[in-house]
Amino acid sequence: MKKVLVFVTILTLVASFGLFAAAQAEAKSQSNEVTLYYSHSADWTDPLIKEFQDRTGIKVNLVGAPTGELVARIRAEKDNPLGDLLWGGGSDSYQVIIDLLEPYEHAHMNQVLAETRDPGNRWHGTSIDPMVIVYNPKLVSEKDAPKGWGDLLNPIFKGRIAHADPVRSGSAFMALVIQLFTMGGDNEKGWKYMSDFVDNLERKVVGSSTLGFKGPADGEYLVGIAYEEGALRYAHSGANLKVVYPVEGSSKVPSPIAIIKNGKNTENAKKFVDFILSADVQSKLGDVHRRAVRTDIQLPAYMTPNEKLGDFYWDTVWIGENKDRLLNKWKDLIIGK
Amino acid sequence: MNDQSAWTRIVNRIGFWGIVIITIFALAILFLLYPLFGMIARSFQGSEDRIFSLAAYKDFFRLPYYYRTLKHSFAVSSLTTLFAVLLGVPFGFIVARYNIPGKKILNAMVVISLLSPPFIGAYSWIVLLGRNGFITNLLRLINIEIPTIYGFRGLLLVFTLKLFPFVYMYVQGALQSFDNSLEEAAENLGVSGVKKLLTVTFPLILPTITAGAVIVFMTSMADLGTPLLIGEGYKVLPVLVYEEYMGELGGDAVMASAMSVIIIICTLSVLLLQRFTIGRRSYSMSGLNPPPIKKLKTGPFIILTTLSYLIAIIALSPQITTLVTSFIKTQGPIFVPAFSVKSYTDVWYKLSANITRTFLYSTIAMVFMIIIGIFTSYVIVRRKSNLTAVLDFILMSPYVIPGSVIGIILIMAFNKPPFMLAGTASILIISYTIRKIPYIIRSSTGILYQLDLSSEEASINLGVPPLKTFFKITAVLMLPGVISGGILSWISTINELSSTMILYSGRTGTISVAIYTEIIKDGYGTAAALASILTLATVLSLFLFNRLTKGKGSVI
Amino acid sequence: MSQPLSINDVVKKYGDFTAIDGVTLDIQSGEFFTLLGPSGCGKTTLLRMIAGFNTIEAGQIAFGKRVINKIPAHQRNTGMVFQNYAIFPHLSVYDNIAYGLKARKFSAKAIDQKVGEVLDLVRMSEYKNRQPSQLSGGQQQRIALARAIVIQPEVLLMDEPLSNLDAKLRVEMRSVIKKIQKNLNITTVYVTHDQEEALAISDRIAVMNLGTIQQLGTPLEIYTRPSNTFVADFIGTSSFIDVTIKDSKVLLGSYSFPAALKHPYHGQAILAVRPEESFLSLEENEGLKATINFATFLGDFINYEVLLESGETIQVNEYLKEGGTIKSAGDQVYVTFDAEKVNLFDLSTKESLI
Repeated sequence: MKKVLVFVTILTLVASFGLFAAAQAEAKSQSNEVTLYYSHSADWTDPLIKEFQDRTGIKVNLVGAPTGELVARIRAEKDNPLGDLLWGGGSDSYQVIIDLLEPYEHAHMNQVLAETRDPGNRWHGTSIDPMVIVYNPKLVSEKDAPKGWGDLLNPIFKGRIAHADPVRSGSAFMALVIQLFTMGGDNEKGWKYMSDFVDNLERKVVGSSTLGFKGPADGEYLVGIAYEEGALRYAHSGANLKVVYPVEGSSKVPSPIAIIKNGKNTENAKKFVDFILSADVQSKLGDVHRRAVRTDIQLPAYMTPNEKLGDFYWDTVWIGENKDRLLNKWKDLIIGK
Repeated sequence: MNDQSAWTRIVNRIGFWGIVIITIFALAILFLLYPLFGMIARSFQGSEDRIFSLAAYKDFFRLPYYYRTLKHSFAVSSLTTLFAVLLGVPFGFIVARYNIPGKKILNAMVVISLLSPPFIGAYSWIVLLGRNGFITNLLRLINIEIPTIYGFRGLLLVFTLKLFPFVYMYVQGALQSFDNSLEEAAENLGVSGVKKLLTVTFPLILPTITAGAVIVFMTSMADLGTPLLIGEGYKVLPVLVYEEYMGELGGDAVMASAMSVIIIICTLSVLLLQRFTIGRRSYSMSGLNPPPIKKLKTGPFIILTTLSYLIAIIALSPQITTLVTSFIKTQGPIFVPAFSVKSYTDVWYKLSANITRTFLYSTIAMVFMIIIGIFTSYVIVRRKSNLTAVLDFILMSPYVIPGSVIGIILIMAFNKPPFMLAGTASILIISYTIRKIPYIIRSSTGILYQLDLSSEEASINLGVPPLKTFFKITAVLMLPGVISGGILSWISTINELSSTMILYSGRTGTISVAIYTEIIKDGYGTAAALASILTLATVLSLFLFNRLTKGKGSVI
Repeated sequence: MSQPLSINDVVKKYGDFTAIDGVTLDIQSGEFFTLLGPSGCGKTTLLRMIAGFNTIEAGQIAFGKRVINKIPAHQRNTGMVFQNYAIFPHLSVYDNIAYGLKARKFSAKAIDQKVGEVLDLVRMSEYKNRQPSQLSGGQQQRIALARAIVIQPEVLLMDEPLSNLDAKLRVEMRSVIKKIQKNLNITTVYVTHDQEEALAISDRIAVMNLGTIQQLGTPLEIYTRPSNTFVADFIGTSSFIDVTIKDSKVLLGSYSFPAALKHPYHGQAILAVRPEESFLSLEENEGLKATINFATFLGDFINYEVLLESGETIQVNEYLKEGGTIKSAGDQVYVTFDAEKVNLFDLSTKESLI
């Protein structure tokens, strides 16, 4: 009887607290891998990730989600970071969690455009992501086609504008900031525009930023706000989609990568950053409708040159500092507070 | 004796089962009550100067952005329930009562579609009917534009097809145990045909139908994966909870908590409403004298057989679609007309760890469930007391808590020291165990109630002490039943998305998470390959389940 | 070794309900003792108190000189045969029987030998390696018995062991049980609600009702001289008639017969008559005038339902071998009683007056 009791007592103790022990062990293990939080779409990142794995032998664990969710994760995990890298979205998302990012001087610091660099080297632009307007030429006549942000208030588009939620999607937030500042600024005028815009959205946002171009291409929506890469990819593959660079201006938002502070595999993360910014990888970006950030690489001929994207300056630090406030104002518009 | 002293004395005093009860209570408090009450408390948190506030609830019912989702949830779940009943009752009735050939095949098809996760249904219907869907494109060739399946319609379609099997199987079960003499009595008294069905048969199986309907309602109300994939602008409550929690702003934990409480109240009220009205009048029948299976005339036979198989095939079409598309070549997001195993090789280099993890975690969770199921049901049934009744009640509570809410309460409770479990495999395993514990306890106590007490008494009488008797007789006799319950839980665990979505990290992503992220990243080929692997695992374990229960086990 | 069993003023309560209300019994070593009574009378409760599955609230139970109140069930060394046999479904016949021996740490060789012997005793040797699901009810019954006696218990306890068998098998098994019990000379407590079974099998019977013992005696004593109307009614068939007793005579209108009273008694009483204790005559005699209500032919005898002039009905059996004419419904008859055999009870206490 006593033997059994002792045995069972031990067993129950193991059962109740084994999980904690396992958790501790898990936290400590260090192996040949790296965990990548990314919000880019899989079809162009997958081959790059595979190449990195093949070259270095480092296993990449993937966590794919909208940028906003990834940032929320990194914040929630700040006492025990579970990711090593964040890749995707705009630089503002990185500014929000700037204290949680590890500074790193990568191998190609001198080869990249100055405006795609963080002064503290905590994030590193890997491409430039302007925001564009798209429309379906089958459903929107040449005459009605939007030329800029102002045209999105046209009542014929009411309820048929595909725009993702800036709260979740990094690119949708970029669009919010660009719209706000090219249509008046962070003031009454700018927010009047935003309020009218939200009204024209009928307070509805789509589930993910890819729908910004897919929606109009499939005829579900008339117009959309999209990141350039997706819009061009669809337009070039023959979809019913026309890409418009807004007359009021877009922006040269750097889309960065960053190393998460106190990650479990920081050394491997550094290798990944070096890899993505290498001439090898950067020279392939043109094929996937991305704007490279290296000075030694020419943009493909089909792309509108960087200089023609307007002169709105993407002030990452200011935007990062004001992001909460801007998003809360946006949310209040959507929620109808 | 002296040096073993205090500890041994305490152990001897409370006895083995006392220790078991204390341990289970400790686990339930740590992993269920503490997180749950933490969330409820948080939902009443005001701004910093006020400790107690109803602000979140007031905002919820004041602002259309919030309360609209509750209306959406109710609209989707109510209509889903209605359609599931309209589809499930006649289908179940026809298959149970008429000579439809291949009933076993039909039932197997329905069970497989029931046990596979709803988000695979969502994904498949996107592949078939979505903006770039297979059928959509075919119809487009002949210039027919079908309405979008995103939003309300899509949710209704996916949920109805996914959940009507619950009603179907409940109806079948009820009709199989139906006492035919009741119908004969009605005929003898001069009532026959449809009138007999409406006055005798359906009133008697109505409690069963409503029990199935409640499950449909609760499941559709709690699901997160489907509305995330297919709901788009049409936001339902669980999606809003998820977004509110996962927002870049660091999430509004108070609002997310308040909304979680509101969902729980909704599911709980529906359950209680059923239990205390129609459910009360459940009639138990022997099943010794089931109604004979009627032969149909050629015309109706062909029509009803075709109809039955059509319904079953539509229900199973997500699995068929994923299997087929997993072998179709993809070019970026677009499927092209050629066969390829590239989706599988992609899965192999990219997501093989997810597969290993899924099966590992589910298996560990299953072992926990079986151990906890055996011990807990024993104390609930054989050591009946107020204490064990409370335990039973606590452990049943996850039944009304949606998976995403379980995820949120766990991450909120265990993302800070001393319980630093966020991002570990342990927290996923804990979540799986908690989610399935009500089912395991129900099935285990059911088994134990059926086990005759005299087997245990005979063993004690023959000189084997009670504790040893438990291990030699009771546990051994319970095991097959509990294991088959465990297999069913294993199946739903490998398919779990709602709580995994919130609890996974880069090193603990499972197949279902990978399917979800692949879909939102346009990786439809790999998603299909992963979904097919899940379906295969589901079918194989169902096969095992059937072997274990000799075909008599019920999956609901 | 088989032990005498003494039960001394034991009490069992479930909340406010008293299931066993101060029962005292002395059962001899080797005796076949039956607890008989209707369902709910407490007989199974008492048996389970002996086995250790029910606690004993007051009083004491002893095997020989060993008081077992505080001894846990598994250390009492009783052998119990359950109503549903409780054969372990996951163990073979052999392992079922060896189960208790293994718990007693017998060597494999000894176990083998003992199991062999007991299987011979219950004539089940060829079923040694069968699984319980392959056995019929009667065979399971034999295995249950073998499993209980192989451990050489101090007391053998049997809880309605035959109630799940069909009528013919029940008669067969009760002689098997009786023979084995006598053969092993093992103290046995047997619980049943079937009075015929109890009469057939027991050395002594305790008739129980409402948690108390109504009568204790040999089957013959209990049948012929029930101590109260409950026993008279429960054992066999009795017809009850209201009578008056005066000067040691039973008066029934004009009919009277002598009463062998144990104490003088005057006034109202109850007469209990068994069907074989009354006689019918078509010719007028001193007996009670009555009418045949109904006649049932039952092979070796005919049962008549007879309506007395007082409005009471009684059952009367007439055996074919005793001759006499067969009567039919409506016939006028005269009823007389066997004064030696009939029983009389106090109207108020229902206790026997004889």
